[in-house]
Amino acid sequence: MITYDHFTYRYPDTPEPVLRDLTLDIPEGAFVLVMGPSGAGKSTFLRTLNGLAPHFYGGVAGGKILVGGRNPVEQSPRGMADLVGMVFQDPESSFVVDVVEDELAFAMENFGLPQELMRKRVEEALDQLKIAHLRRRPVSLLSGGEKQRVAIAAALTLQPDILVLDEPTSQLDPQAAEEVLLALRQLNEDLGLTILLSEHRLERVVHYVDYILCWPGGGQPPLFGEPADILRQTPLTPPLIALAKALGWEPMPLTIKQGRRFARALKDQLRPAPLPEPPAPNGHPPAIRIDNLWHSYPNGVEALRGVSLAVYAGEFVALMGRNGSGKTTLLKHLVGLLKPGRGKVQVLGVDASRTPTEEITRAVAYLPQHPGRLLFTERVADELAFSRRAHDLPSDPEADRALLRRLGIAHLWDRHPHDLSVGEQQRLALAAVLVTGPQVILLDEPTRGLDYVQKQELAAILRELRDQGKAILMATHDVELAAAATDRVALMAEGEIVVIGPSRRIMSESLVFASQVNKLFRDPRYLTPEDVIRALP
Amino acid sequence: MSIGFHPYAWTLWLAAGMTAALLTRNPFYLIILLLATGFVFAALKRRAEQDPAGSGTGPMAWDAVVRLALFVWGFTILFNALTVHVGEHILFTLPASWPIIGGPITLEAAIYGFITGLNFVTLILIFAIYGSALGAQTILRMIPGFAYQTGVAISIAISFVPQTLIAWSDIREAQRLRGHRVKGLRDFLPLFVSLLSYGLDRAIQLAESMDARGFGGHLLPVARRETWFIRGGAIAGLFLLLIGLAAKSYYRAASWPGLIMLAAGAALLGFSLWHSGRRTRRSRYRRWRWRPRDTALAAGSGLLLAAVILLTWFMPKALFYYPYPPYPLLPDFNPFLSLIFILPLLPALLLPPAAP
Repeated sequence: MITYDHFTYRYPDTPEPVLRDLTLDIPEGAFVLVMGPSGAGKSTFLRTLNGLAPHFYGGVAGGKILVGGRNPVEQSPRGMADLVGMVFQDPESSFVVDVVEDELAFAMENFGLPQELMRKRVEEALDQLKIAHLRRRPVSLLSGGEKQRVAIAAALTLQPDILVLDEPTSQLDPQAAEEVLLALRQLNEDLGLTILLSEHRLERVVHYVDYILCWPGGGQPPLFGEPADILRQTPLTPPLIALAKALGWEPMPLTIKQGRRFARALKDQLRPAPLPEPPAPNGHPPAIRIDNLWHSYPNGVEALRGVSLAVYAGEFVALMGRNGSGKTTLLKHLVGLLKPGRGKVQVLGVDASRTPTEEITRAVAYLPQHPGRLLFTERVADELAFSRRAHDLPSDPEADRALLRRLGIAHLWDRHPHDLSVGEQQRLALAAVLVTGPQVILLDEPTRGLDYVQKQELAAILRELRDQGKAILMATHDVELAAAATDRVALMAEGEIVVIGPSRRIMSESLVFASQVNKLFRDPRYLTPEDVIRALP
Repeated sequence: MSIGFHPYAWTLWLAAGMTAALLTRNPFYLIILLLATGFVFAALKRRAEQDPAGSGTGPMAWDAVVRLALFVWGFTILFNALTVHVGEHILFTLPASWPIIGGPITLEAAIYGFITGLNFVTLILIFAIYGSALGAQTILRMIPGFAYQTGVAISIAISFVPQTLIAWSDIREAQRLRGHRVKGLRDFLPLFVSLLSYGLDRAIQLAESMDARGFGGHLLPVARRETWFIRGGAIAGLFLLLIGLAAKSYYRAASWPGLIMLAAGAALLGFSLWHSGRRTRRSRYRRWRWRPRDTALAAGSGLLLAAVILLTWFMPKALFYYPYPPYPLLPDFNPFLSLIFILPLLPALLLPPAAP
């Protein structure tokens, strides 16, 4: 179906090829997961399948490719459009027209298909993705998961043999991501569609796929093979696989169900440390204090309904819950970006509703959802200098460099912030808000687009900051990060805090918010692979 | 999406209303026209509020349209009254030493401004109604084949504006988080840099997605000769247009040679464009149905359009009014004639209820 024979591709203006001497053979009807650290060439590879590279990006391609009998380098992306359907990371910015139905018909109109055929295929695609009820809706009013399903349906109407998806779930909450992945699995099984999908959160997909194509990074050639074989060779593994590798479980379990067999055999031998006592309140006032906070948006949506929360210095608290449950709204109140309808918000003893954001942020670091938007100078070094200037602090390049070194990005000192990878941008944005030495740190979805290694590094950095006595409040969907790093978890739903308590207790009582390792043992003493390994006799 | 009527019926309504609003100066008829369009405006607004998702055009700033119209009206009256000092009915006099506005302020000038304002306000309402009933995307989809790509480019530009506004507030928020205060013009620079890089990113993603979905059409194999014919035709047509224009302006002895060349040039250019549009094979998904109420709306609009044009042509006095002397201050009023200006009310009467 897809054959690469000594294929090489180099972007314009770069001396090193991204894809070097690639030889690969993907059979028809396969469901392939494309993985690897960010910046390793996954996106570029996916874009060679329909000729976007080199046709759209320029650059030089050598060697042979054959996709469904056609050569994408000779055919342009237009010539491949009826063979390869493409779905991109951010559906919002790939929509061309305004209404769902018309968006689905767009590609068919370009191919001049007759109207009857178009109507039939639109109906089919609406049913396949279960979005028939959305047909007349403007795409801008859909939720994230709905948007991504519309984008997939729009790619299917030309009835391609191959569907290519570039991190389609990175913007979605776990439930919406699951919907999208289930739909893909069904397309693969029912229609025999060949699917290539890149994804960072392997635990979501690894049990659906037939093959993994893994870029190790650093210019190494990719590995291609069955999931168990590939996962054995890469450090980018979800907690279940990491534990299985550490304990030598064979055959390697890919699902919780398969892993539970090993866990049952192991459970009696483990000697876990007793559950730590929750720390007694040290008598200091909390760094963050929210009392009965209510907030309604101008359109009438009640986003917060009587939230009360206290976070102390030296404590790391996670806010979890569905998209739209009020997590971001809550965080924005803490820096005065939103004003409470009712209730009180105090941060470090200051009333956040009466103080300008520019002043609060000197002592409170806030990392919003799109860290890229936080960066606006032309050099990494200038970003930190900009923050200092804005807060009337003296310039101190030595301290800046030390901060970047601690975050592991000091070598990027002279680079342009927009040339950095997602993970690097994230850490630079963190550095830009940490430069003032804040006592409170607020993070909104900090793990989007990060791979496992980057996530572990971020967790380590945040734990270190917590140990220095900072108060950290983080909104996240990432169960594993919350399990590995936080002290307490607050679950939000419909603008209320449903339950709050020590992470170990909350996460092992929940079904949705349990970590993989916890699902294996169903015991609050085991949340991460480290917990299990430490308890080995 | 097209609310209530076939897009072509709406377009005829727009053409009739626009022509009537532009060619009429008689304030009585204009007020009737304004009331009729006002009713349609209110009907559409009510419908959009009942069914916010059903309009397909997204939220619309109804009140802002009314505010804009009133502002334009007030401004026109004030401007005309203060700058034109002609007429017999003097309301009051400003000191002559004041530049431009100094001198007598007359009732005639105020009335003239009032009527010009009426023209503007009616036009604003008509366009707001048309825009909200059809939405930019539907309007663009009626563009003929050869202009299709331009149409898509414009439609993208339109959807760009609201998204850029959202990005703007995101970026502004991000900068406040960094402690950045905007005091002077220089402090805006980082904002624009971020906005620009955001816009570029988005444009690249969109272009990529369009390319991957076969945008740009698939050229049918055409003979090379035919391509030359099309290009040659377009160039020759443009030439004829230019020469005709020059002939008409400089050769005053007779205007018909210039006119003939203009007509021939326009025909040749139009034919080439139409023909090149046929070379790309693309089809339309949307099928709009023509219902009896569309016939009614089209007939009513056609009647108004024809009446206004014929009256202007053969009985120019019928719709005419000029407040300044030597004309009488009181305009004529013909009750039979006033009836045709009620016709733009039709959409409000025939509008079907919103689907549950």
